[in-house]
Amino acid sequence: MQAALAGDKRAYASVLEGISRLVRPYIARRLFIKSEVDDVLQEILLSIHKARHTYDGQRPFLPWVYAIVRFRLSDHLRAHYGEHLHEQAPLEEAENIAAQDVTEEGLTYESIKGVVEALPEKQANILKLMHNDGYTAKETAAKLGMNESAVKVAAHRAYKVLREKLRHDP
Amino acid sequence: MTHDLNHLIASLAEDVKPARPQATPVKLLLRWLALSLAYVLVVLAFGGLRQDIAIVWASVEFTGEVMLLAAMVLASGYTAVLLSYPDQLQRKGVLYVPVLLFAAFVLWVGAALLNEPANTPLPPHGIECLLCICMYSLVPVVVMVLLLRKQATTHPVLTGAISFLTAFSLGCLALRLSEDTNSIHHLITWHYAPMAGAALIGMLLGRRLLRW
Repeated sequence: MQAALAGDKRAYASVLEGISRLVRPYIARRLFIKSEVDDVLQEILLSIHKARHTYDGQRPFLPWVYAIVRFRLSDHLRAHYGEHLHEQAPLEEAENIAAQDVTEEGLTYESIKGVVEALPEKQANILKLMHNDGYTAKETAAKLGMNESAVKVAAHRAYKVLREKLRHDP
Repeated sequence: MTHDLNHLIASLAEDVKPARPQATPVKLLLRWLALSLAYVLVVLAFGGLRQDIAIVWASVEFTGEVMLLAAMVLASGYTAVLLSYPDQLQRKGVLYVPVLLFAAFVLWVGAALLNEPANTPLPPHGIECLLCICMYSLVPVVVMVLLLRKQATTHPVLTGAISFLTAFSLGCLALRLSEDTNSIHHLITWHYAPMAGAALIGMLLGRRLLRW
């Protein structure tokens, strides 16, 4: 990213490709209409391009990226639901509307936030920083004053507890 | 990745130039303060300070109120600037400082209201104060919005509210130094309630004014 900020075109293209690969599954889990994922992703890349002067390379990069991702995603959802608020589909078409397999496990941080917050404080903080705020394990360790392997171990234990809880009480 | 996305990435990369150095929040705030204070001081020079300024400055109630207002201007200005970065420079704790100062200000004004003598005269004017505050705040609010539009806020509603609150707090502070009234009833009705109302207007206009 430092090279990209200095104007290196190839480095910048590589950063944008990396962001696309990282962010695409995040957006796809949150959008009902899968054909809109690319549109939102393009909007996000444009926003990152426009806002790049607000990142100086001196702080963690992913929280900055995810702040823009969440903002554009909520903009899109607001516009989408605003447009479709007053539309009504006939009841006979209801069975054709749901395009998604209802058994698909659409787990997001928000959907299990309640379960995460019930974990011990340290584990809940680690999961929030890594999966909601976008910090890496190393950045999370720096933020919490722990070492990186301790963060990974705590996260691993938290995943195990979450898996058990969600299995018994989805 | 799709063809469209690859094409977009290629065109954005082609377009890239070395990023201009990021303005720090302190620099942005100082830029706003310099322009706003210059304007407010010129307007104050025309209208003049209140005639009893030397007397009221010696009173704890007046000085405390003015200091709290000044602190609110600085703290909320800094917060507005911080909010203009997508990730608030990852300093979210600072965002609560204006809330604490606002709470302290409300308590101070509340205490003044309880201690106000029953026979304190109300000034004959009312709406004129509101218009004066709008006049004092006009350039500060425009400058603030223009500065923040060049950034990339991800909280336009909150940023709008706090930027308007900042500008109108400065307007209230300027009027407090030029209008010789001591009635806290008058101040709450025609100075501080409009200040809160301005924050509400900023909230409503934020998404439109701070679009990027």
